[in-house]
Amino acid sequence: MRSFISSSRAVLGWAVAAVTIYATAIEIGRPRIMLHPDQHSYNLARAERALLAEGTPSTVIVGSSLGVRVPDDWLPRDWLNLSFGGKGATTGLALLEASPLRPRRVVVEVNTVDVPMDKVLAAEASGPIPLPLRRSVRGLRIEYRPINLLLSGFGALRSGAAPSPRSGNLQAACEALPRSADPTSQEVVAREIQRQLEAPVPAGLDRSVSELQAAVSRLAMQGTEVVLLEWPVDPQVAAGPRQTAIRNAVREAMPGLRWVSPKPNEFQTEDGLHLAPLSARRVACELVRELSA
Amino acid sequence: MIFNSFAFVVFLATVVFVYYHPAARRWQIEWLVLASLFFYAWEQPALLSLLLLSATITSAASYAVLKGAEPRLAATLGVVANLSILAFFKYNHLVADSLGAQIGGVGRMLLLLPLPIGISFFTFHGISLVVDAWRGKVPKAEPFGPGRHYRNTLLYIVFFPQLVAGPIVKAADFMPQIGWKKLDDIDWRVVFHYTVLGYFLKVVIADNLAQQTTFIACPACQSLASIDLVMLLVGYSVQIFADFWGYSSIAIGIAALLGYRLPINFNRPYIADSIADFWRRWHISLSSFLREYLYIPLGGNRRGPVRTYVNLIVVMALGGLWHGAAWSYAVWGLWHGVGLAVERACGASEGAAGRPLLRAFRIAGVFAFVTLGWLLFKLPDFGDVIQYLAAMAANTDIRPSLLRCLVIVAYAVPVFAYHLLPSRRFGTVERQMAMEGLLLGAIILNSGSSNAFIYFQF
Repeated sequence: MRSFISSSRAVLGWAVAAVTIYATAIEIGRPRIMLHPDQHSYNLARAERALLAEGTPSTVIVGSSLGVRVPDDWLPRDWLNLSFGGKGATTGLALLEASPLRPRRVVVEVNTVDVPMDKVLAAEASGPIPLPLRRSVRGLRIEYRPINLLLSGFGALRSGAAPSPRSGNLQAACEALPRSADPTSQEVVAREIQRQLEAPVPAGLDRSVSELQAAVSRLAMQGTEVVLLEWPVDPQVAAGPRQTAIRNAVREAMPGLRWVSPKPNEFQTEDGLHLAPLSARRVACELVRELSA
Repeated sequence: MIFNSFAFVVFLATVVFVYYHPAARRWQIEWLVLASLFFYAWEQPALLSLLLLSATITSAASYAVLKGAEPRLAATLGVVANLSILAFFKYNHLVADSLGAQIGGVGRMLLLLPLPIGISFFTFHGISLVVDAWRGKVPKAEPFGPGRHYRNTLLYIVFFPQLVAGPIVKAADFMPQIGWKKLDDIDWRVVFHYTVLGYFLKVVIADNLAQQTTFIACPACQSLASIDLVMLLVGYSVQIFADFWGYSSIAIGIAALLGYRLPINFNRPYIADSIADFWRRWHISLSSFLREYLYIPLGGNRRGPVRTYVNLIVVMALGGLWHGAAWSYAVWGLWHGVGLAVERACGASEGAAGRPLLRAFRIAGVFAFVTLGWLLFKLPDFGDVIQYLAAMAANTDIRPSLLRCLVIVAYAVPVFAYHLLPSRRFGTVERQMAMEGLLLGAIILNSGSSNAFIYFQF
């Protein structure tokens, strides 16, 4: 047993020291995490942010990778973007219900309503380190994993990284956005558009819309304003069978809700669906302006 | 039940508590058997009967061999029965798929059978016990009787740390270890070292890389840059090592916690300077099993060069098929078998000790050879493999993803450092414990999402 005690004490001692130093450095440095190694890590960090419920966001956006394209710093500080890559709005809504967040307004993306709900994301983001511990020790959060720190440091060093609007000066930053078009590959757009033209399976769409409808009703009962958001996509995709079917199904199921579709004068997508970087910022500005009106 | 799950932590704590409790001392082996059966049944309770069938046949055959009752016949029956179980339950889909349109009713029935987890491992254990008993390498349990022999056989075959993904322990090495274990005899250094190392490799390296290597898929591969495709392959090479050595390492640590010694399964394989050297370092327990129970009985290298090359290719092709029931695994085995034969024919199997520059070139060459071979592991469809290689050659004009490359490098660096810095260079026990502490810190701070181990499918 003596060997056990000495071994465990030494190994645990070094582990605790390493974690403590790292957590202290994070607490002091408060680094800005801009990059995640993969979509799943990004989703977990986002879900964790909701579950930790820091601050009291006035507006929460729920949706898919379309919404992920909008950088946080191009939205007002009291907004929370709960868009998840590879998921749909229902996943964000389920997470919102599992979290203590009670925003005044929820903006629900409709473009990808046909994507089924991910029921395990919230559970995965909740463990294994307990949330109360993560709430008080920033360094233990998924968001501040060493790999995210490394990548964000690398991203900050790269020349040409998109500048962030100074705090509180979002309107000025929007006005200062260059009017040039995003560089995109027409070949990639044309190829991806073909993949977006498939109509959703009616039964799956009906189920997803029902889930959305139920979640929206629960929010409305709590006094939350629900706004439906249609991100701008390539005109061919927008007029295609998938987007048309989704639009019609949502309009039919939730006829009275406010519907916003921010469209700047010019925008480009990288693949027919996802906005290119500059366009995403323009659309974010347009969305904020519409919802503030 | 997988090692990187909360359920397993609870399971292990319960098993160890009861195992070393003074009141349960007399029933240690029985308790371990029971716990192992529960561990297996957690995933596939219906297939527990198959595991018990294999163990029962093995026990009966080895008992007859040890008792001297028709030993040759009993040994043959034991080997054939285990091989039949393996062939029937593992290769049913391959046979049915290969029959194609002529599949018929029998083929459709075969397709309904699930693949039992760990079947490749527990049937090989069965073969090892029967053969080792026949060779006189397994001592009789004292007092020798069918009940005690059955109990010991069960423990050897179902011992949970190595039940589903190895390492493959030879009966001659395991059976003499069976007996009463004391808490004071545990080598805690072994327990800590291998458990922490194993979990680090699995949850920090392999699980995080798994998110990247999902991009090794075609036709999506056609839109990735050549550099990305190469980096993804390197990432997969690191992932499969971290995943499998991670599992083996945890198994060794947990077995040590229960007082049993399992063989070291990996010895820094990516610094091998020949393909033969690679197979002395990679999945050592399988390599030595194939050598002892297949290559040598086939004649090994004693029947001239041509027969030696044929033996190498046959053994490696069968070894490839052992990994998975798909022709791509056989081709992967052939890739290595032909590589070994060519290397031997060129007199290059002996490595380049003493010539550092040549050795460095050879290490890079072997790594490239092995890494390319993993493509057959990751993409079982030959068409996809060809598409991937074609995209790798053609997509030089596409801009690579720096982010992806950086992530792969970040996770590959610890693994390559592990290869280049042998553990004894850390010197004192104190330094080793400090390193284990840092690895544990990394586990806390940077674990990836829990994934099953790659070798579970085998």
